[in-house]
Amino acid sequence: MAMKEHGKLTERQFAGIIANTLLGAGTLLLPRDITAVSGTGAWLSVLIGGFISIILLLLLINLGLRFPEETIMEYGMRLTNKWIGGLIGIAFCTYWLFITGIVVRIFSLMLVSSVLLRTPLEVIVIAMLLTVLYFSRSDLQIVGRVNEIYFVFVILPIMYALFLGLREINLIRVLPLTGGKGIMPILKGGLKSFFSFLGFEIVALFIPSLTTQKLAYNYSLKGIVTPLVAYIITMIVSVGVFGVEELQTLVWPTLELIKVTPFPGLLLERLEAVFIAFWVVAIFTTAANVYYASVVGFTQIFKLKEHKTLTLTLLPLAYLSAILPDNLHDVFEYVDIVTKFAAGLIITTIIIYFAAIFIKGRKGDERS
Amino acid sequence: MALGLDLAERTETENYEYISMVKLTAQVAIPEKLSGGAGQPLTTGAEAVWNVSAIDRNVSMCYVNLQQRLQNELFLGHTRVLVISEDLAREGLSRYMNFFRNNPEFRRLSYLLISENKAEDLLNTFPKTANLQAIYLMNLIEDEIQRQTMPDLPFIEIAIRDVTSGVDPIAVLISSDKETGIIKYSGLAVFRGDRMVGKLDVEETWSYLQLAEGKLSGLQVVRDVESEIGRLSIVFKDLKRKMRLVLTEKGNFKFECKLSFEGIIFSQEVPAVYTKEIYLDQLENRVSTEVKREIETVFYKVQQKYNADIFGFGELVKAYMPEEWKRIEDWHEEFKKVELELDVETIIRRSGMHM
Repeated sequence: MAMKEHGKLTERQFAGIIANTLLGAGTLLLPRDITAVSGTGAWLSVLIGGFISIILLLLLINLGLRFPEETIMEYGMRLTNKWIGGLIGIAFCTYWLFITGIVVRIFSLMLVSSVLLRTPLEVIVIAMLLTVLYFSRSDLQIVGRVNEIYFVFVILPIMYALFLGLREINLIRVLPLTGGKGIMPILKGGLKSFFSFLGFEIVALFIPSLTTQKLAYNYSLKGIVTPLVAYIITMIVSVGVFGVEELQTLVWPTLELIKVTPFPGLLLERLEAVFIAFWVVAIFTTAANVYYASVVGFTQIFKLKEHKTLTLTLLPLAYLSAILPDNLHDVFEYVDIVTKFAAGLIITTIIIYFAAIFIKGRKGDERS
Repeated sequence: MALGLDLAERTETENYEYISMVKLTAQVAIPEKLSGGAGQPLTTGAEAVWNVSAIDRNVSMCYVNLQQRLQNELFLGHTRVLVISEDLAREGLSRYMNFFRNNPEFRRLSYLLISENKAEDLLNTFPKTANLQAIYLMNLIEDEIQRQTMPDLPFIEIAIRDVTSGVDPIAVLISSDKETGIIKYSGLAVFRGDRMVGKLDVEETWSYLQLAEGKLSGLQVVRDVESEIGRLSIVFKDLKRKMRLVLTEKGNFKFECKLSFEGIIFSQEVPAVYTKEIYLDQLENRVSTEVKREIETVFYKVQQKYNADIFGFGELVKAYMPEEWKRIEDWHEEFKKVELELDVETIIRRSGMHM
């Protein structure tokens, strides 16, 4: 199944897909995870994590543009051989599947511990996964449109909450800007923040479907810089409001942040419910995009005709990965492992494929 | 009311220590009394609310226990004010606050108060103008905050100060008198770690606010320059605060604080005329000296007697001298040696309507 049969993506939709995939569960955990390592220098960590992601993203696009007709699964197998390419492809798809589960799990955990106190976790997980299933049965065109529209619902509430939070900042808590612990903690934090940027690698599947491939660089940058800015503001606001030490005691720092930012006037209290409603959209787009990528990826590796065949088949696996961790701490450990695995996978893939291009001396295919 | 769900509960929770037993009192609003029929006056004070208590081993048990005494489910999201009695605060706050911190319904922005009397008594004190006692308490605090005579201390701020090294918590002290129904703001409770170690009275609190937060606070009373007999009250209209942190040769931290006040004469007891430049200058000097003396008294009291860094000087060190901060093991020890250099400057702008 070649991707282009599945309809086209406009550049704006392409950027929307990147931004929506990135803005997800990461926002919920980011402030605590990273300040634990790099203290007040956390925003620098995010910046570093972001820059690494941008470089990797651009490399992936560069790779993809050399084969304008094929996705990473297809040219991967052609460049190396069936086994190496296939293995890398399977690794990617499995990891995407796993991420789907983890993202849904993290969000469900937050829901049951803060809003839906009496709902069993499984109910929320299943409900979210079913929506994801419905979504992933559609064509790429639809995926693009949904992402384009939902982008507004994802970014506006987040930004709005953060700007409300800006008023509550206690500047003394943001200082020292470098964290005061030296450079190593910041770099470590950078690696940690990588989880929040994961998901950008799905672009490797969508490049052949772009209408104007020349604009891929431009719009992918737009797509990834939006979350980067949102993350940095999240970091600064949450550190400014809570301080590093308090952040370590909060399980859901971003949610807590919304709880402590009063809406001007007594008009709307307990605004967190509204934000959680919007967060569902953010989590949904993340999980759905990644799951869609996983399904399409598997389809191409096994050279199936239609990706709809696999949507339902893979869902139990996503569900399993969602309920696999025993508790909150397990989830965080899984996140850690996945982050490291993904970083390794993306970097090795890029190195192997570029090496293959170099050895075979191919410049890539011309666009037909 | 048709459904129990509509019930507007004002759950005010308070605890007081009774041989490691805790008593939780919830102030619940009675919805029928609040609605008020046509032409009927609203019920106020003691009749509009119901205070229910439960005694048990810890806050969670009390909560469960309390729930058994109420038909409707307690909804902590309605809590406006959390009152904790002084003796409990002296035992340490953290273990009692944890219940509220873990509870997803409890508002992080509701106020935590320390009651000089039993907290239950405070909740049973009904001022004449109070429609709903809890709301009255909340408004009392918010008004004081707006007048800049009270630090803004929602629950979360105290929790943050509790865990953050380099700043110690403070909480608003409230005293109450059941007989007269008077609820009064009576200063600040000073904590060291999570234990309450002392108090500042209202005037000391003003000095604290000027130094720590740069807020205007209340009146400043000085002797009259001309006659030396009467007194003058000055009210400040503007305050600029500049803090500078330096390391002395001995390796101690020195905080150089410059406060520039702008004030007006609020009232005077003798008819001295402040049109002469020299009198005004002298008056300004006098105010500066007085403010300086008061702030220093409060600072040394807190530093030497309580050894609690409620000013957040540790945070300043952390922010501006991270290298030095790494070296410090116990900030409280270091805080004992902190020096404060105050520089107060006052300008009197106006003298009211009467000369």
